[in-house]
Amino acid sequence: MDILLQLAVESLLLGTFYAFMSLGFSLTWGVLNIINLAYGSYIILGAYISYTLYTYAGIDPILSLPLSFLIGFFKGILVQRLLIDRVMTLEPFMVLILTFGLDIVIANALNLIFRADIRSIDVPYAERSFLLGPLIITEVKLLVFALSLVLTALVYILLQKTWTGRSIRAVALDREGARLVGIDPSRVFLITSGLGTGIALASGNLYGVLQGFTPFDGGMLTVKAFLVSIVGGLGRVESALAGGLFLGVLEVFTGFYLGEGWKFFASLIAMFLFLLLRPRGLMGGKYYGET
Amino acid sequence: MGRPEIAVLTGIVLVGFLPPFVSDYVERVVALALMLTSLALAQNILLGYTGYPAFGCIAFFGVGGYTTAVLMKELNLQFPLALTVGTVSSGFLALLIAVPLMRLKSHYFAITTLALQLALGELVANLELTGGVQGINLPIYRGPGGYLIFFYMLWVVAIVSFLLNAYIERSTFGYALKAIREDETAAETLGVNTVLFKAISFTLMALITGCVGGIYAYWITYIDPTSMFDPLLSVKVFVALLIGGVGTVGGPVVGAFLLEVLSEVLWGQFPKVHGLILGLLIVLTVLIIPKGMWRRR
Repeated sequence: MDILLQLAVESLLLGTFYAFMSLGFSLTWGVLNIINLAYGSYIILGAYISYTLYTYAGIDPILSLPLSFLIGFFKGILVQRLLIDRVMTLEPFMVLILTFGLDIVIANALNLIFRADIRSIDVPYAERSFLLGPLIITEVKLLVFALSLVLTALVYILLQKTWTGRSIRAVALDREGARLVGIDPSRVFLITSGLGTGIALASGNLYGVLQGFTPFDGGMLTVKAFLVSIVGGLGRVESALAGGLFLGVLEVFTGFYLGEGWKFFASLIAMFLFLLLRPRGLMGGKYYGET
Repeated sequence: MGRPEIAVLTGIVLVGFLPPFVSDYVERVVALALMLTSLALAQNILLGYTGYPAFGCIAFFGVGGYTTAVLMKELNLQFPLALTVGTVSSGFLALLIAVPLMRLKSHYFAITTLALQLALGELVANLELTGGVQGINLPIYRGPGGYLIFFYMLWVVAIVSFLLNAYIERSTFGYALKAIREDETAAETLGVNTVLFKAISFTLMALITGCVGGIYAYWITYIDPTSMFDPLLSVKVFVALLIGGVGTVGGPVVGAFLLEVLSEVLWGQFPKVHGLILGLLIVLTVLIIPKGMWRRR
């Protein structure tokens, strides 16, 4: 019984992080109708930025998180302007090929700079844990959980309460309608892309303290972000939380009962079945990207 | 076939006379180009004529390769028989999933096939029968003709794929596929059995891709999950198609040869940044020639 409880708690902690990590992917897909295959390598990029800052300047990855977000924000705008805008009008699978190319470029560039060795950010609190009744709680996991929750809530408030957020949702629901009430979709695309990429890089800071990483881990993370987005439905914070928890449970329980080697297979099969049977997610869809 | 198509076909046929005159290295590069040609032509039937991008087409390459390898290793089957079973299993898998899978369109379809490819890769990496992450060592071919036999097998498959594409371009079957590509609902109303034709198109793609995978597995004698289910190979197929021109008969051949030779030259010149350059090449192809060099008729 204790072990089940322990696994459930692990799933919750990990799942909440996955929810935050995938928000950017889900948003850009829901609003721009773009599946960004380079998303995972954006996360890894964030991990390397915080790794560099921590190793050479001693800045804690949690403190450099806003910086990663800002770098991501401008990178997202730049990529949208220079690359994605040009192919958005073509067949949607062209964006897949473009972003896959981008993924290869980022992974190989990181590999040139940092080599392929596994890196980890060894913060002083990395190994600490405490007992809570029958449970063992790792401090880093708890910290990442709490931060993910706060940041996810921030994104929720941004989308629900601010004019920027409302215009993003408006464009997601109906591009033409948004234009009619004076919202410029291409501006919203830029902001969404910036926000999405910012979230990816920021979550990279958290990913870096959770576990080791190499330049080529991006593809696996893209699959995770994809699964989280597709389980609930696109572009909504609540759906991302549901999807994140689903992935958390799936990974923790498969890892424990079948072995670590089957974890990624389980995610992929879940993704395949969801796409095949429930392409609009469990909660149904109303976003542009889903039509 | 129009004049340009005949020129391309003549080109492929003439490539078959190259081996006695060139080095082993050039022969190998040409064989790889022939392989990419077949893969691109296979995808062209599906994407080019039917309008469905199977981004994870290499799933079938892996299934063909692994089935062939496991049959030869575990059951000691002769290569021709193993290859036949490998090819057929690949096509059978496609036929099995075609109907539910092809309700999805555009990038949903593309990503689902990619998920299948990666999932199968993870599956063989975890199974003992397929040798896990260590992969499978196949017996080395010692029959007549030596390694030239693989060159000619790939050559024949490329020619057959080309003729199949040329047939689809002009036949009623091809018109039905093109009708699905242009407007599926309209095709349905005009009496095209879209479910059946989409399934056939998908299966044809899988048969060719699986066959090439089987030949490749025996050719390189060592296969592992990463090399047989490589997403990079999927993307190369698409880039070859894009460079040449999607939905044309000659384009995929030109694209495949250009891309293979180009990446081989780059590999030799800049071994350290090869991956980086290949990535940039993909990005630039999408940005500069999204419509391809060969005009669709």
